[in-house]
Amino acid sequence: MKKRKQLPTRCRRALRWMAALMVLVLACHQLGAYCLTPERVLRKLEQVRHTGETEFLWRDDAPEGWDKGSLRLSGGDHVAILCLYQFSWSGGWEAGSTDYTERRADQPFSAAHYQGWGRYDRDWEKNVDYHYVFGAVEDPGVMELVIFFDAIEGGFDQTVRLTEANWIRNDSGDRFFLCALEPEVGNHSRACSVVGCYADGTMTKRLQLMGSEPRWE
Amino acid sequence: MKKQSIDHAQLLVLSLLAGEDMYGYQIIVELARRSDHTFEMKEGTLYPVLHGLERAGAVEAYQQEAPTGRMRKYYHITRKGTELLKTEEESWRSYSGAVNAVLRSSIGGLTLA
Amino acid sequence: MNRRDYCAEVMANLRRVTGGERAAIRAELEAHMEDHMLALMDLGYEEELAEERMLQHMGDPAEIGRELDQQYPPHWLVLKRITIVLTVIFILLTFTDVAQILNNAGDSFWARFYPEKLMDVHHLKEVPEVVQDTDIRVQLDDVMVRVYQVALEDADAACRAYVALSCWNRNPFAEQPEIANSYFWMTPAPLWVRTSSGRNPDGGSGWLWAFRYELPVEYGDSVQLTYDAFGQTFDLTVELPWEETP
Repeated sequence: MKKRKQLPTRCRRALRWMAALMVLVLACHQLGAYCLTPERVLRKLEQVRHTGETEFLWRDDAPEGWDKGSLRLSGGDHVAILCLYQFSWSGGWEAGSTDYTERRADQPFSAAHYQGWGRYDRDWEKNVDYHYVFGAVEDPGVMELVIFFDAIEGGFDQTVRLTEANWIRNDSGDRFFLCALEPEVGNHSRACSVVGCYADGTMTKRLQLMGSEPRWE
Repeated sequence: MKKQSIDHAQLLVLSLLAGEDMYGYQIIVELARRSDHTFEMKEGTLYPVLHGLERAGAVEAYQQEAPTGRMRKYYHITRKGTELLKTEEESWRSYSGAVNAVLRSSIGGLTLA
Repeated sequence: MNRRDYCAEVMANLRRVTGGERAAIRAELEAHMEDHMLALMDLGYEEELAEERMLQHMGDPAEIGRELDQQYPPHWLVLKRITIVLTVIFILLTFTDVAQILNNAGDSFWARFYPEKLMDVHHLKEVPEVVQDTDIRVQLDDVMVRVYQVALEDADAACRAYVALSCWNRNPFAEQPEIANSYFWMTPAPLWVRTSSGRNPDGGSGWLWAFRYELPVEYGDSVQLTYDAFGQTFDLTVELPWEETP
């Protein structure tokens, strides 16, 4: 049988190109080169630190003055991750500033401090910084967490109590938390710590969040 | 009566292609032969018909080497074209049947008169 | 008018077709005219008369050109061109990232099958006296960690030891896990490396997929690798190739 060469119509050529583009985009999404969803970005973050699978638990728009994006908390059996997810047409969804905190069953809770970019306030002529504290409560006896933000140089002290109403629960009932502190204006140096409280009023050890790594006191 | 979705030239071309794949000149020759030279269209006008059918998805085209060694463009009726042909054939039959019925009754009337 | 003029007249009325489509239409018309002429010449017509007769049957070329042009509305062509542009832009935007991922997959392949041998590492402080291949493996879900080579500068005295690690993900396109090199590059480091006499590495080279640790050791020391992060742990004791008696 003689060889036949199909002659596609304009419609078919256009559809082929569209299919090729779609395949290319999906392949890049699968590879992680161009993420179409924040979930894909999260998978990359999990692989880098080998944390195991997590799921999104909380999200909010990035604070005023930051680059546009979505601040999201994700949690799994062994980790809580807070990350600024940003989308651009040129790069797809990408991870901005990211922090991890490891969940350990032998600790009453895990926590980490997260600070994204600040912004310069023209009216006050000072930097405005946004601070977050996030993590998970491990000990079922811990009823409350108290977060202490000590403004050592500039800014102001803050104390925040997190209770039952503040917990973010996943499907397994694990308790995660995210505390957005009040924006600090002109703060140049700080300390941040967290203490857990039991129902009988006793307290856990204090977890200092600042420094090269969190440490228990 | 349903509005015709394809014209007569397209209907004739589709019914020829329903039998076998053909190239342009072959369609012209077959059309003249099978209609006993009743249908002899201007040959160039076949190509807008064919390209229109191709655009509508009723036929698809391919190139194949002719016995002379030259590449020829053949047309092949698609499934969509076959469906369209079936529908148009049924419409044509019912239309021509109705016309014939009216003509028979008129001729009968004239004869009586 | 001849065949060429006829075709030129048809072509002149095609405004919406591409160069390729124009050439295809011309080829089809010319083939048709040639077929008809050959048929007439088989009947005994002279070539000139056959051409004249054939052209009489072809119809008005301008009208045919206009009718053909109507069969080529621009929307699919425009859509195709836009898609091509978007595809090129997308390739340019993602090229470096895709190249990085493929490079990563290549590194993963080398780490898995052909990790860099200690003797091939040019900036070792001293050439080791003894080099021994090992194959100690630990699986952390979809990541494999492997101790593939150990070496000693002096097999019967306190000296410097080298321990070579590689790790790879079952998925070659996955992100590189920060495990093998994490002792130096992360705080807190999930991987702890220490000798049985309690000394830590004081140097190393490599990257995420394969890393070679350099440790000061006493005679008879072994090397302990301890990993504890995000619910995954391992504890390996790596024996060094000491000579039986110093």
